[in-house]
Amino acid sequence: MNVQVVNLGEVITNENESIRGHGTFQKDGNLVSSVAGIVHRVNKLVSVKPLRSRYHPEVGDVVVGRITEVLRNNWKVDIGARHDAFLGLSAIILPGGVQRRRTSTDEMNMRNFYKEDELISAEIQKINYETFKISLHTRSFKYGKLSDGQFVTVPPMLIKRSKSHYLVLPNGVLLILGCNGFIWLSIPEESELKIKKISNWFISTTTELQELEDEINENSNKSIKDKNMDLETNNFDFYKKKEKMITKEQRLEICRVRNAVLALSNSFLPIYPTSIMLVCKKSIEENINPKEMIKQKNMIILTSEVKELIK
Amino acid sequence: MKNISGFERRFIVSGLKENIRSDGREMFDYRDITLQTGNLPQTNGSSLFKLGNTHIITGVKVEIGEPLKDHPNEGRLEISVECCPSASPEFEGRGAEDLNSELSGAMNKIINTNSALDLKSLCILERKKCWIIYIDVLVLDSDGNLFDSVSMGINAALSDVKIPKIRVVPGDKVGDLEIEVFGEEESRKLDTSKVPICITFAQIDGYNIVDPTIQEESCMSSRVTIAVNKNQNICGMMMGGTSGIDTQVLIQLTQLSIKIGPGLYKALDYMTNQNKTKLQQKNDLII
Repeated sequence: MNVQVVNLGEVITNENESIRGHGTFQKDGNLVSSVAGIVHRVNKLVSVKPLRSRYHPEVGDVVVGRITEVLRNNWKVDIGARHDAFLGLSAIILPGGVQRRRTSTDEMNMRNFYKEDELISAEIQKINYETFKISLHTRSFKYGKLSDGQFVTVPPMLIKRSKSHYLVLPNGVLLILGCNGFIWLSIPEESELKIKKISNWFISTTTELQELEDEINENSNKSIKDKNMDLETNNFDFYKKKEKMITKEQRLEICRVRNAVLALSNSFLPIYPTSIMLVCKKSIEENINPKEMIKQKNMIILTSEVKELIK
Repeated sequence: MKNISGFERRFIVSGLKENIRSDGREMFDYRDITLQTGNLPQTNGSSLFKLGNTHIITGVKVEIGEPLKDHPNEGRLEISVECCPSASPEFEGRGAEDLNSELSGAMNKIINTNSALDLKSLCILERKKCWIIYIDVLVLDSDGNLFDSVSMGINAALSDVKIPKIRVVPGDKVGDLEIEVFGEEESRKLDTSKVPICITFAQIDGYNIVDPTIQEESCMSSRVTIAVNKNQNICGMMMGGTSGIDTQVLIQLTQLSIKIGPGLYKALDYMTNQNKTKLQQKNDLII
């Protein structure tokens, strides 16, 4: 596969037939790159995708964001893009479970839903390219307030857009991979999920890889169903988020996955369930504690298998 | 990262109950230390120090100047710490001013004394000439725990410093004295065996942890920084934060810092020696 990597100011092509896309400009009859990245060609459209840039939001992306302001009938959310996003009051799940009209009481109670500095997971509903207004929504049980967990940041281009961004890994860790590079690690609600011990795994064939991804998706769907029942009975409890009891083993597994994600980010490798599980499996095989995983020499050992897989 | 939600804070505190921090460390574990010395060839001594994601670069230059009036037979140090605006969002514009003066003041207090360095050995001519050591520290990237990182960076840079050999000769006019400076081959090293390093404890909801990350620093209620040296003496103590500390706890922390100190010095010495052997290998290859 031919991949053309260009640097700033490098001439991509001198054909006059190419239509210039993002990241290019014309100079002296040549098509020159304005960013450092990889060239994408679609028929005659030539564009350059930068290797490292700010998150570029697309409709339908699952993102993790931090509430920065509480406004009159919406919240301002920082998603690490060039502009802040907005989460409207009409775009959240109101207590009672059923869809109802938002009243002025709801406007007064906004801080009972989401306060400043809280983390949420949401989906991008629409983007108005004229006013650059990014609208989010949390109209599903897998979105909403995030509590009892850890927050990590990685470069956004390492997270591929895939079927599901709300994942329950086989070692019992809940992972929300925001397309904007913001990642949330926690424990899923339902503890009776099929939790396989990582030492029983051999991810060597593609069928086993497929089985692994199917299992992760199955676990994730189970977790979402449990949240549904929670909401219909309670009022604001969905937003109050009582403290979850997390055992020492579960906490260590969260640390392991967190350090796995940072090891992959350090080596600029793509972050998706298979690569994370490969790093975790390697750490158990080599008897590396979570706290030692972030050492430079260990990171090289841990990411070696993933590098092989990428090739 | 000053912004942290109550839920993240709750998670960190409940983790401390089990002695597990966000990256799997225990309460009194330091992050990975990386050290390189001699990075800046234009200086007399330099170091690039990394503690996790906190990156510190230190440059030392020695110059001949006049001693202070009340210390006529001693040389002196001038330490200045600056936090780069790109190191953290809070350092933009003039946001880092207070932190810069706090760090510079703290380092001056613990290192610019006779108990840390033999300042008398820096004297050239009493009341007239002495060596002035200018130490400039730049915080390139901040992930918490700047006091410890800056002190260790300065320690490493000082161990790399080479002071040129000099000779005092009579000058052109009668009664005048001139100073002849020799080349680098005939330079001497400073005795840095008594230079202290800082150990910072952050108090979060009654739990004391060492080497806080920037996330943990935004949860802490108070901070105690204790300076210790190789002989396990306490050389200084600084406090920060919004709440106070129990006296019993303070005594326990000072005893803890004496236990933690040797381990850090060992790591620093090991890496300084590794750098020396690498440099020696490079020089051998050239010759």
